[in-house]
Order: sequence, then C-alpha cells, then structure tokens
Amino acid sequence: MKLLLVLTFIMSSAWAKQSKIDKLYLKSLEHYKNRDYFTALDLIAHQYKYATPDQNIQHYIERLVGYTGTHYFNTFNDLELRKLNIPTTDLIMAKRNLYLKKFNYVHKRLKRMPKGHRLYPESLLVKGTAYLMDKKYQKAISTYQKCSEAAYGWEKRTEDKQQNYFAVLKESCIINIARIHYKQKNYKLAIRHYEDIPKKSFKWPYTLLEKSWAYYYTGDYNRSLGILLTYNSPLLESYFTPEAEVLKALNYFKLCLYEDALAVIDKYYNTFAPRSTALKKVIARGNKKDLFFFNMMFTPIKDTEKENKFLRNLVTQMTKRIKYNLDLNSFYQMNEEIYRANKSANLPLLLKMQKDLKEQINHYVKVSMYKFINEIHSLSSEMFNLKLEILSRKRDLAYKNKTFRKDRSRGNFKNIKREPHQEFWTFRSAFWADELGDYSLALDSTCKTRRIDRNE
Amino acid sequence: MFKNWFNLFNLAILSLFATSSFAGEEDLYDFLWLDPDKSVYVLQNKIYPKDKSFYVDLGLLMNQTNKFQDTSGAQFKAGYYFSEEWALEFDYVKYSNLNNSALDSLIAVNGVVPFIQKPLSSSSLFAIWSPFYGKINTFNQIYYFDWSFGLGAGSYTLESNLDTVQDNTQDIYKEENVGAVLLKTNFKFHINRNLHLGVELLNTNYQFGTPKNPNSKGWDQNNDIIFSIGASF
Amino acid sequence: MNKLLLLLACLSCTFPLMAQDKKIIYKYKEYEKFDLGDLEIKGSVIAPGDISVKERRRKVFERNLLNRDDFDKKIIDEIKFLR
Repeated sequence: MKLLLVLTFIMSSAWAKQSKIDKLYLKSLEHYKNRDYFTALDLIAHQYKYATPDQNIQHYIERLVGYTGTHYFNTFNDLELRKLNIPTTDLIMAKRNLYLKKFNYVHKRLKRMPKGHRLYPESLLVKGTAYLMDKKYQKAISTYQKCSEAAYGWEKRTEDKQQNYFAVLKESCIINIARIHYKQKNYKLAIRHYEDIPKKSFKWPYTLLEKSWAYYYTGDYNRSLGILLTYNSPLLESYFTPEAEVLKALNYFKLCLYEDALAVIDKYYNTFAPRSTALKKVIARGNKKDLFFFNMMFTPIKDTEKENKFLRNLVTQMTKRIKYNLDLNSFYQMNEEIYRANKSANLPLLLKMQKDLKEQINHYVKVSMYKFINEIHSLSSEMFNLKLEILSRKRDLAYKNKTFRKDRSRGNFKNIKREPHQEFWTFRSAFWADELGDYSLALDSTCKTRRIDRNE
Repeated sequence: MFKNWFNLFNLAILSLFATSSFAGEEDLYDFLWLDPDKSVYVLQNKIYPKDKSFYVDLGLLMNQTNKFQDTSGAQFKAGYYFSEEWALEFDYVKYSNLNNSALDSLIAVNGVVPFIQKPLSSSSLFAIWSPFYGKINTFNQIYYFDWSFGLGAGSYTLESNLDTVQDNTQDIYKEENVGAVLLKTNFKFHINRNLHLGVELLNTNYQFGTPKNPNSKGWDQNNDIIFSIGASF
Repeated sequence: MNKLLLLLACLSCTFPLMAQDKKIIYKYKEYEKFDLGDLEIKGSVIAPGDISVKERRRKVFERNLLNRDDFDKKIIDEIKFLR
C-alpha cells in the first residue's frame, strides 16, 4: 500500500512537471510565431539548464538559435550547458574544453555533431585544433581537410554574410594545415598551402606575414622582404602588423645589410612606438566613458583616423571579424524585437541581454586594442635586442679591422631564386594588380668580410 | 661657347625630369611605397602550370607555300609535358588540295601544266621547348600565354607530277612518302585551366626532285599556319 | 729525584758532542734528465698517436633574436574570433 502511494506520488509529480514543460513549450511556440525569438528561446532553454530535452525540443531550440545566434548561451556556465545536448551547445562546450586543453572531452562533445548541420564545418575546425594541440598532426591535417571541403560545400549554397562565414572557415582550415607544416619545419609545404588562399579573401593579408616567416626560415630573405613590402601598399594600410617590421629588420640582418636593418629599427622607434603611445592615451581617456569602445565601432572611419592612425586599422580589422558581425546581428535582432513592442515580449530580459551584449562587445574591442599596444611594446624590446646585436657585430668587425666585401647594391637578378612553376616579371614603374603580394627583392648578401686596407 | 650650350642642354634635361617627378608625387599608386632604393621583381606562381599534363589540340590549317594549289587541312596533336618547359608531342596533319586561280590561268593562257606538288598528310614526333610566357590585359581580363618551339622528325606524304611534267602526255600524279625534318613555333593562349587556343607556324623540310634534276633530290619546304583549340588535363 | 734528572740532562747534552765526531758531507742534488722518447710503456694504444691539443672552438655569444616556431596562439585566437 505504502509502495503504491509512493509510486503514485512520483508519477503524479513527473506528470505535473511534464505538463508544465508542455505548457512552456506551447507558450514559447507562440512567442516564436510572433517573432519574439529571444523571449521564446529564454523561456524554453531555462527549463533545460540541467536536463536533456527530447528530440523535438532539441530541433526547436536549434531553430530558434538560427534566428538569435549563439550569443544567448554564452551566459550559461558549464554545468547548466552540459546536458542540453544540442549541436550549438555541444560546440560551445567543445570550445570551452579546448581552451582548457581537455582534448578528450572536445572529441566526445563533437562526436554527435550531424554532418548536415551548419555548424559541422566549425566543429571540424575545433576538432582539428584539438588534435593539433594534442600533437596528433596527421589527424589534425585530415580533419582540417574535411573541414575545408565541408565549408566549401556550404559556401557554394549560401549567400552574402553566410557565404563569407563559410569562406572564412574554409580558409582558416587551409591556413591551419599550412601552420602544421610550418610547425614541423616543412616550410616549402607550408608555403604551398598558404598560396591556396585567394588574394581577394579576407584572410589573405594575414597569410603574408606567415609566408614571410616560412621564406625567412628557408633562407630566401629576398623573397621574405618582398612579401613584407606588400604591407606598405595603400590597399593594405589597415593590415599593419608590428611583427612585419621586426621580420623585415631580421631579414636585413641575415643579409648583413646592417644599415638597412638599423633604418627599419629607427623607423619603428620614431614612427610606430610614439603612435602606439598616443593610441594608449586615447584609449585611457576613453576608459572613463561608458561603452566607449562599443560606440567607437559606430563612429565614421574618418573621425577615428583623425584621433590616431592605428585606431582606424584596428576598427577596420575588428569590423571584418566573424564574431563581431554575429554579435552585431544578434544586437540588431534584439533591437527589432524590442521595437516591435509585442505585448508578450519579455522587455526587461531583452534590454538586459542587449546591455550585456554591448558590454561584451565593448570589452573584447578594448582587449584587442590593448593587446595591439602590448604587442608593439614587446616587439620594440625585440627590436632593441636586434639593434644591440647589430652594434655588437659592427664593433667586432671594427676590432678585427675588417669590413664587408661588397657595398650594398640595389639588387641583382642572379639573387632571385625562381622555381619552375613561377613566372618572373621585372618592375617597369608599374605592377599589375594580380601581382600584389608576389614581390621579391634581389639584394646581395654582404656577409663576407675583408680586411680594411691601410690606405682606405 | 660649347660650355654654354652644354649647360643649356643640362638645364633642359633637368627641367624635364623635374616636371615628371612633380607629376609622380601626386599619385598614390606610383609605387613609391615600394622602397625606391632597391630593385623589386615579381615572382608569381603560374596560373596554368604545364608540368606533368597532357594536351590534345584540333586545328585548321592554311598552307603558305604552295603556288598552284589552295591547300588547307586539319591537324591533330597530342602531347605530354614532362617538365614545365619540355614536352613530347605527336602531330598528324591531313591536307586537301584544290587547283588555284594561278594554275587555271596558266593552263588557260599557256596550255601547260607546271610541276605541282600536292601534300597529302604528315605524321611526326616533336620535342617541344616552351621557355617564354607572357600575359596580356584586354577588356579588363588578364590572359596568359606560352610561346614554344618544336623540332621534329616524321614522314611526309605527297603526290606530284614529276614523272610526267616534262612529257607531253597526260599528267599522272604519283604518291610518295618521304622523310621530313619539321620545325614549329606556337603561341598558346589559356582560356581557363583546361581550355586553350593556339596559333602555330609549321615548317616541313624534305628532299624531293625537281623537273630540272628529277633524279637528284634537293631540299624543299612546306609552311603551314594552323589555328587550333585544345584541352589540357 | 732532582739529582737524577740533572744527570740525565747532562748526559743528553753530550750526545751531539759525541756525534760531532762524524763528518757530514752535504751534496746538492744533481741534474736529473728524463728521455721521454726512450721510455717504454707496455700496453695497447687506444688514444691518437700524437699528443696534440685540439683548438677549442671559440664560444660566440649571440643574443636570442625573435623566433617564430609556431602559430598555435593565433589558431586559438581565430576560433575565439568566430563566435
């Protein structure tokens, strides 16, 4: 009798719970039909903070995420997310495990990602990265290859911003294959993969620096310098990176062109370092204002450029990031939901979510800018180190009464290392647009020394 | 006097340079951002590499040397690039001949039939060397092309009225097969990775008798211009 | 007792006087020469025959210049920049 009563009690509470969930589901569905997607998502997702929904509700939540973006789940902690078991949260959990270096959990989470899901290419990118960090390079390469194929498939059948997103994913996977070869010191193979990135793509300017490093380590300093020259082009002004200047100086150093190296170092100290200090002041001033960095993203470029040239570069680069565009999309969706002013919409929730999102965007824009400033400062110590090394070498030469055999000439064609699959063109006051990024210098290495004649 | 003229000349030259440099500084794209102190070159990956690729071409031919015949034909060639610059190619050419107006006039006016050679076909094997490449910008599109040279040997089939040309009898054309040394030069314009257009000059050198010395053979030439379309894979 | 000690002391003083009777000849050490070439050492040669000192490679002190071994950090950042 007692057992029967207990069983009845358990069953009735379960039934009550299920009917509550069913009611909430129906209410959420109503919000969905009224296009109050954030309200609908919040209503249903809250119920499954520590529970696994059935298949129907999983599909429904995924459908809602297609409208709201994944930003909503950033506020959930690991315990709240771990049982939701939808592809979106699986990917979020996998990424969190990746940052914590728990690679086995990454693979466990991504095992059930459906191949036809729009997040499948991104999941392969995360999976490949987990293999890479775990030093399983062959598996990483094959996973990245699958990722680029899957992303390409989605790229062909989507348009506009979605197409850009899949294109970026595809290129990221190809570049990561190149980076694995680079890490394993197969520099020529790495270069071949970097060259698979088309010049019109968003990621191409960033591959120039990595390609230059690969050429530097193969000893082709002229080619490395030529590629770095591309960053001087007016077309790539927004892609300034301080590391490119350091690599330029290193290349000149390896060719024993100490005066050129010192000129690059001096330029760094006289132009870029003060500009970065000025940027720091601008940022420090803005720190006191609420959502300063968020608002800066909506200021016209001409105004930001007046404050500091680096600001314009950073803002331009930020606007091209996928995360920023996705967050902005969510922001506009929230705005739409607020201003639609449906009576049933959860306005306090929407306003709170919007405020959170603004603060998040504000935060990571600020972090990016400070990272840039820190990079300039840390690299300026590398430049100083290089300068000391050059001065020490010059001093050694002076003590030994030696100088370099040749004076630095403008360049000699015989110093160009041309492969059979490459075409060679000279510069006749103009380059064709398709040649951007394919430059090479032809400087002689002046490293052989000779004794200084008494009569000199 | 000479010194004054010399100074005037220098001034004129300097003023010319001054004008052109002023015009240059205003243009963002005058490539001053490319360190003017150093020579810069371009090393670009070939858009259409040829190494380890097969190709097949079909072409239409126009003969340039036959004086008494309108000779045209078709060419089939297939080749393989075993390196970026070197290839092995097989050529087959089929000719068709028609009496031209010069021959008809000669027969009508003088009543004589001159010595006529009618090429019939040729098949040959070539070694192709492709050292030159270029690109042209037309209608805002860049087209890439390759310029190659070939040296080959093969057989050349022709018919002629050498045996009967000096007799007053009816002309009989006898078919003969001779060995030939062939030279060619070819421009290949790439449309895309698999398709290309070609313009070729084919020079066939063979030994043949003449009415003056029917028993001794001298060198003779046949030149053709061929327009072709081909595929690479 | 005291008389015995005095007697012993007197006796011990006479010993050197008795020794002085022998003539001590002092000689300086003669020059000693070793002919190393003549020396015979029994054993198997396991070292190079000639005694030579290898010129030591001079230690060149170089600063650690910037090295870029991998782009792992960039790979992680790119995933963070996705969403």
